[in-house]
Amino acid sequence: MHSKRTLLAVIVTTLLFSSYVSHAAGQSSVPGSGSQPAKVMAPHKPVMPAVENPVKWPTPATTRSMVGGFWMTDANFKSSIQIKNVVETDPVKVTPVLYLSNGKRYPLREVALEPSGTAVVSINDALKELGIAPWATLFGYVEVEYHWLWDPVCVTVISIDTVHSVIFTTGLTPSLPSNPKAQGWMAGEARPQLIEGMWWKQEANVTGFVALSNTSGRILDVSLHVTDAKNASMEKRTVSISPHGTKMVKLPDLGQAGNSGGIEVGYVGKYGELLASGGLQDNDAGYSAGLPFVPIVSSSEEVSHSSYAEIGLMTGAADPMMQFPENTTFTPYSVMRNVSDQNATITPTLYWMRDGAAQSRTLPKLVLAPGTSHNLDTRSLLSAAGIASLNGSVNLILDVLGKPGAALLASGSVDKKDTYVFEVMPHAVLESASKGIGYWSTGNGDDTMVTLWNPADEDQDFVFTLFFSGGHYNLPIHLGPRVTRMFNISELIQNQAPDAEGNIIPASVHEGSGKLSGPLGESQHILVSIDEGIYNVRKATCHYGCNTCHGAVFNPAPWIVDSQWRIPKGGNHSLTFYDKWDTGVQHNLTNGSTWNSNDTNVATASLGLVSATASGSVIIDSIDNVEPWSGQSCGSPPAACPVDQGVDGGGGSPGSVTDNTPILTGIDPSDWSSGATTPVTFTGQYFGTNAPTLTFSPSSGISYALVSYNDTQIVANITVAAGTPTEDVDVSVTNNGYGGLGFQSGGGTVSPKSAPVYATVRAPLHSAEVTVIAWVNGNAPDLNPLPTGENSTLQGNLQNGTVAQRLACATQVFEWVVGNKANILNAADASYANAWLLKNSANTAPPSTITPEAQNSAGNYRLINDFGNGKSFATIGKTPDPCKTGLLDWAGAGQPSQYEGYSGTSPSGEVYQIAEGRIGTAGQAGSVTINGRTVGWIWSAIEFNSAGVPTYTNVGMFPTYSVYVNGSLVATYAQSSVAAFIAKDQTYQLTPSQIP
Amino acid sequence: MWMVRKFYLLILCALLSAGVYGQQTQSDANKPEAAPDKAAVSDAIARVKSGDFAPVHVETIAAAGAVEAIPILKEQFARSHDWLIKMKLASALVRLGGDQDDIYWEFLAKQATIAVESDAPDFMNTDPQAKTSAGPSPEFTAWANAHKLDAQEAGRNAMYRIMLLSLTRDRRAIPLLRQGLLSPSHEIEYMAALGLAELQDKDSIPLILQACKIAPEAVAPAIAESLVYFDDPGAQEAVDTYVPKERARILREAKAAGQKPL
Repeated sequence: MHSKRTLLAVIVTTLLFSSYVSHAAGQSSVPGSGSQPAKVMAPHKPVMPAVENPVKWPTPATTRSMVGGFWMTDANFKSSIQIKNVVETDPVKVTPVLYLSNGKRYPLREVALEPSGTAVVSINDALKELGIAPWATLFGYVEVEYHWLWDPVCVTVISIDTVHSVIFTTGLTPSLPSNPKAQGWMAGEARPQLIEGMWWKQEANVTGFVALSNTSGRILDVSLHVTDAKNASMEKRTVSISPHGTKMVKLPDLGQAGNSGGIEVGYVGKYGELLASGGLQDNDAGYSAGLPFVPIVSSSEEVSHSSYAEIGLMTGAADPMMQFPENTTFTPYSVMRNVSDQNATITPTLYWMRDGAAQSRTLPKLVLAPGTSHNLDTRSLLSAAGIASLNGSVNLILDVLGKPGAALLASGSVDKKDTYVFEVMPHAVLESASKGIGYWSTGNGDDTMVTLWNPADEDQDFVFTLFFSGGHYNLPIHLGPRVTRMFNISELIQNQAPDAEGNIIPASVHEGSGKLSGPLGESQHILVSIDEGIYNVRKATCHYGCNTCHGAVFNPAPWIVDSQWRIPKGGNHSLTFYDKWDTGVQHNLTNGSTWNSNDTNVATASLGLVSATASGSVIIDSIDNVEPWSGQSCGSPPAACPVDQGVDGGGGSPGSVTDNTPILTGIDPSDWSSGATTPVTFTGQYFGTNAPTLTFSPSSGISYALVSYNDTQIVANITVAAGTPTEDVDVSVTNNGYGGLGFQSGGGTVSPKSAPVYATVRAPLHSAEVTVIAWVNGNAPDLNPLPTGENSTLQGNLQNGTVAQRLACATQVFEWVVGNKANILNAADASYANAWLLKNSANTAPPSTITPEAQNSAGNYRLINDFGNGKSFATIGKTPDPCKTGLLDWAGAGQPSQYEGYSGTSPSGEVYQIAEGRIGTAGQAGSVTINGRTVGWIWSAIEFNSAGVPTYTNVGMFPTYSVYVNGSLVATYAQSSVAAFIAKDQTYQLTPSQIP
Repeated sequence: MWMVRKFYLLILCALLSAGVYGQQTQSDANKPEAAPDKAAVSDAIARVKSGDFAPVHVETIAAAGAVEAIPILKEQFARSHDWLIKMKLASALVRLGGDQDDIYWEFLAKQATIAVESDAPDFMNTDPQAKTSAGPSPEFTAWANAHKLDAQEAGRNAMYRIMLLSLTRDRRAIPLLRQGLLSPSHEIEYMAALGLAELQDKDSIPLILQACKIAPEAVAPAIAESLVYFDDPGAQEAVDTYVPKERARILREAKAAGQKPL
């Protein structure tokens, strides 16, 4: 269970530098250098808002742990475990576990941590409780267990010998990191692993040791190779380490003061199974320092710039406020080793403050060959920068041009007597979100110094929040370009100045944790270097705390709220993209993310709004490329804040677009015969379980009766009335709902009616074609002879023999057309005129057999109606010129009624077609002049019942109607008398509603 | 020979036109022909006012001299899109004296001018060798096609234009009608002669006589029928010459009964 131990934060530090690093390093302002590098700007990225009402996260908590923290006890050494609850929203319970050097496991009491709370567990006391003599010489490592979604604590182990003023600090790292990259390194089979370390000799009596802890359940054979500054071998050893055991290996004689070199630790196993730590010490002088180690991961990354900040390096006389003994003066130290396989070029730049403004000086670069190390002559550097006599602090910025992670660094300040050692943890200069400080103390002679440096060439504002039991305190901080600020926590407590919220730090408070963030909240991106040192002048000890880079955690993964959603086509759905930070705070990334769809044909998404375009399944994902990952920097050396950033929606949000618009995919058979009933099966989807509706267009003559139906199939008897012509019919299905409820579209553009599918109506070839021809029979009894009693002038004018007669006749008719009632002196004149005009404009009788189309073209009729056998036409004929001039088309173009050619289905189910018209407008005008009333209509209606039996008796009273079935004359309906028809007016008309 | 005759007629027309303008009055045109039934007039006015009317209703109003209907007639003239109805309304308005600005007269004159100035040939077949005299003749069809007109409509409308101008009984129509006697179309000649008879323009008798002389044998009787309505010996002699006796008798009886040519 505990086999996968690693210093992942260290790996992150060394391998994952952002592009910012190269820019920042190469562009540092160097007054007087003559170069004008581009300015380094502070981040100005959108701030994702915190969620006020957090959602319940779908991922369950798991049992997790952190491992590391070399500890040792003896008569003088006392060890303690400092635990910081990174979570600000919830309390956390943890169980520390001690592993002795022989691998023996000792779980300790559970520790309850309040939100943002801290706890210190005395290993000595714990051993005593376990019945183990705390003064015995013991050592081992620590594991801290908890049941949580992510790694919620930051843990540091302090081993301190107050008698000799010696102190060693080591951190813990997650045994199973949530960082996806680190998880990848831990995967796979056992293989050769390498951990690189560095030593240096501060003064002549310094000795060193290496502590090797096997976190696996099997014996590890470990090689130890100590090299000098030029990477020449000094000593090689091998040791076997029992499961969960720890061995301390003394380093050989390290030679002269000022020397430095390397330590290569090799083993065969999985990444992170072996933990390496170590220290340098001179008990007589009270000197101690931790050795930096870093696991090596082969990297193919190209040479690039990286920038490291060693800030708050004290130089010259100690600050009187820090209460060091008089005449205590400090000198910075900075040691570096190239742990890569290519040269690394390092350019130091010193920054210091003068009169409130940042000053800087870039110093000569140096080149480190692979494996070599170098202990910088800081006195010479300070002299070169012209600040040899500076009493205060400087920042040493190291620009490294080499493979990422090439530089293994250590730095700090040491007093002349080598008693006071202020270790400063080099940090990569990287953009981040808020940063946490794991522990601060002002009790028992402790104080905590915080150093902040603004690497940007523009102002930045920050908020430094101090957490303590029962409250917090916010300290606004403004840093000008490249400005450094240092302060002691004790000052803040002593000031008792309320913050913006009215909070103060009670004087009784002596410990807690802290956080540095932008003024817009913990997720605001900032660019700042921070260092803290917990020092005790009386004990002459100083150690660093556990720094945390706040950011998104991966267990639980960032999450798009809502999944398995269903929206209708044309609809919208809002998704929300949340992530969770190691502080427990949730952030809403919806508006700051890029939204993607795995199938834009189904749905697209923007700013969380899903727009459905077609039915189907789809996964909507969201990516935020700027959201930082959380990380811890508790190792030795400390990790930089991880530059890894970018979160996605945890695999996306699966959903579906529904479209329950009925889909008609099949009609079988799709040919329906006129005059017949055809069982038809309609197949498709979303027909509903309530009785669906079938719609036909054109609908004339088509009816149906449902036989059966379900959501995917309808069987219906389709009846097509006889006489319905051959035609394509649009068939649509309307979903009337399910289970008695009406159709529920769900919104969008979903319709209950399907798109049409064509079926074909075919009129059977054997069905009847009925043709009705209306013609004026000039031989009708009332026209032979013509009525008498007319006046002689009228009689004389209505002649059509000679040209003169025809002209006189036309003139007579023209007069009637223009309203002159010329020569119509009485009813006899009118009767004669009507009869004469009709007799002389009569049609010839149609033959007994006809070809309907030919008859239609010939035009010898007043009206023709043809319907059936898939054919259909209705035409109004012309009235021949009774005067034989050719001038009179007074009825030439007959007037069709609004029902001319109208077809439909009667209430009794009969399909019919109407032909209806009357004489043209000029003829009507003449008739009104003669008769004093409007002109009635003539018509024919041909009807077919469902059996295909035609009815053609529905004709007007005038003129004569000849009926043909399939071209053969079957009936003739004689015209009424002219007088009877003339007695009618325009209300004499057939309308569709009159057809039963 | 045919062209020479036309030329003489043209000169005759020119000599007579000055006197025509001096004789024109509108008083005759406004004179009611008869006394129509008052109810029929009221009904006619109502029908016209409603917009659902026939030419006979306009004629009823004009014949009754119902000047109160002038605004209604003008309104319908403005509203109507039927060409023949517009002609009828304009003709009635001129007859009723409702045309102070000569708007309607000019409308009618413009329409008649189209007819009398047209170079359209005979509509009917006047060739005695033709199978039928019914038109349109091949020549007229060719002319209509050349002018992108419907042959029957063009032939018919020419007749209406002359007729409705004549029915105004406004003597300002005489020059146009005389010009009609010069038309290459015998249908126009025939209708113009009736119009001149309707206006009792005795000065046009020589022109009508001349037209009869030069008209084809089949057409001359038709043109000569207009002469029946002139109390003029020369005209009556020409009637006897060109019009069949029975037809002449009937027409003379009609004239004697007070009937007019149109």
